Amino acid sequence: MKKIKFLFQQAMTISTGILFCIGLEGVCFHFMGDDISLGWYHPISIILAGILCALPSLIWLQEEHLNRRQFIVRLVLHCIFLFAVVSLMGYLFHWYTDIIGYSFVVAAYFIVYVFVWGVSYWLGARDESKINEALKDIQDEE
Amino acid sequence: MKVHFEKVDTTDEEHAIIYAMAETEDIRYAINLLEGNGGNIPVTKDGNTYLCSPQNIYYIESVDKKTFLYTKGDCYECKLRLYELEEMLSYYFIRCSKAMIVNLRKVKSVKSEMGGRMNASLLNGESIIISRSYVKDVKGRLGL
Repeated sequence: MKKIKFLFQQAMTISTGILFCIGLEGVCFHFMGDDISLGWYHPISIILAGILCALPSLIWLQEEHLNRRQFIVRLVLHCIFLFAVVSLMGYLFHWYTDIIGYSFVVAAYFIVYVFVWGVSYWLGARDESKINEALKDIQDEE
Repeated sequence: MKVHFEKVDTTDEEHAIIYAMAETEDIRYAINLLEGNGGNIPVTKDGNTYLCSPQNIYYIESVDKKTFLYTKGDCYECKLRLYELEEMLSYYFIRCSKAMIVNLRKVKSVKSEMGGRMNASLLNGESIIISRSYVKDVKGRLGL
């Protein structure tokens, strides 16, 4: 159940992220003198992309301790797989029509990917500090 | 000692405060009882059976359907399943991964790892992993 909840949360977050990027793309294109129009398949493609991109996140639910090398290998594989999914979905559902549009998708993908990891790191550090403070109050004396 | 009892509506509000000159043996016994540490746990080691006090337990692990209790320097086998121990032990014993329960009172500090996990250093020098999906429960148990 926790896995399903985790996947659902991931899918929702990713879909929201993609929607944000498409929205930003629309604003940029508008100020560049061009406009984008959404087809009937765009909303469903965003949801599908969210679900597909959430699946590889399961590798982060493994409970064993990862050393630095294992972590980097997983991170690279995760990043490449997600990039492939985003590129494929973008191609199939016409998120981009030319090289400029694709460049925008590539740039947006890497910005969002780095941003999400940055936020995760910050949240982790914040939790670490809060938990350590709370542990001091209940810790047994040795 | 004067004892004052006040009724509350929810279990979340339940708590006890003891005002005393010192933490005597009787008070320690009362604290253990209130925290749910009243009952000792039957464990075995090298064919001998012992009773293990919950306050000596650092963490409990399930390996190949067997349950092991870890104290400061020893490891004992227990017939009870992880979920049974989870129910009978006190508030500060919490599931930290699918196969492990940790005594939060024995955690020295935690270190956040990439991927949402946390590495917990125990007071006996050992380290265990708090899985990403259980970090939220640990925070809740600590009132965060």
